Amino acid sequence: MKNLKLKAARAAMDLSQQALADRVGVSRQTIVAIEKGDYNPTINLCRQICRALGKTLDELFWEEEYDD
Amino acid sequence: MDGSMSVMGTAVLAVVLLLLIWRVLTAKGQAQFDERQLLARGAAYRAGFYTMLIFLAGVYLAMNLLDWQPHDAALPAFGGMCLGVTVFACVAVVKDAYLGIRQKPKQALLMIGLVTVVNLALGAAELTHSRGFSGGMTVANSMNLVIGTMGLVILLTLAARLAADRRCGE
Repeated sequence: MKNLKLKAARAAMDLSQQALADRVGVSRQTIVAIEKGDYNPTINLCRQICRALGKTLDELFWEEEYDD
Repeated sequence: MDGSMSVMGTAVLAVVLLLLIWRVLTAKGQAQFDERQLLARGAAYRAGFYTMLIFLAGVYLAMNLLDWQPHDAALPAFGGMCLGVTVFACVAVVKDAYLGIRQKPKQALLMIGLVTVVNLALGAAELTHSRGFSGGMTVANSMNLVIGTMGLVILLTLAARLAADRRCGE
C-alpha cells in the first residue's frame, strides 16, 4: 500500500527523495520503496524518518482503516 | 634470478593483500548498506547459492548419466561459482542493493567496465592462441573469458538499472 502521507510530508518540506534519504541515512531507492509501499521499514527507520520530517509516527505511518 | 623474481613477486602480492585488508577493515573501504539493502542482499546471496547448487547438481548428473568427462575436472566447479556470483550480483543490482549508500554509480560502472574489458581482451587473446580451445577447455585457459563475460553481464544489468532509476527518480 502506497504511503502517500510520507510523500506529502516530504513534498511539504520541499525535499527530494535523495535529500530525505541523506538526512535519514538510507539509499534513495529505500525511500522510493517505502513511498510506493514496496517495503515496510522497521520501527527505528520509521522514527528516523519522522524525526527528519518533524512528524509523528501516527501522522506518517498509521493506516487510517485501523481507526475506530 | 628465478629465486629473486619469486621473492619480489611474493612481496608485491603481500603488499597488495595488506592494502586490500586495510581497506576492508577501515571505514573507507566498507560499503554501507541500509536495512532494506541488507535484506535484499540476503535474498541475492540465496539466489546465487541455489543457482550454483542446481548447476553443479545438473552437471555432475549429466557426467554420470551421459558418461561425459570435462577436460578439466575443476571446470564445472569454477563455472558453478562464476554463475552463482553473477546471479547474486544481478539480483542485488535489480533490487538496488549492489551499491552501498555512499558509493558512486559512475565509479562502479568504470571499475567494472575496466575489469570486463581487460578480461575480455585477455580471454580473446587466449581463445585465439589456443585456436578455440582446441586442446580442451580448462580453468586456466578460460578464466579471463569467463570473468570477462561475468563482468559484461553485471555491467549491462547495472547500466540498465541505473538508467531505469534515473528515469523514474525525483
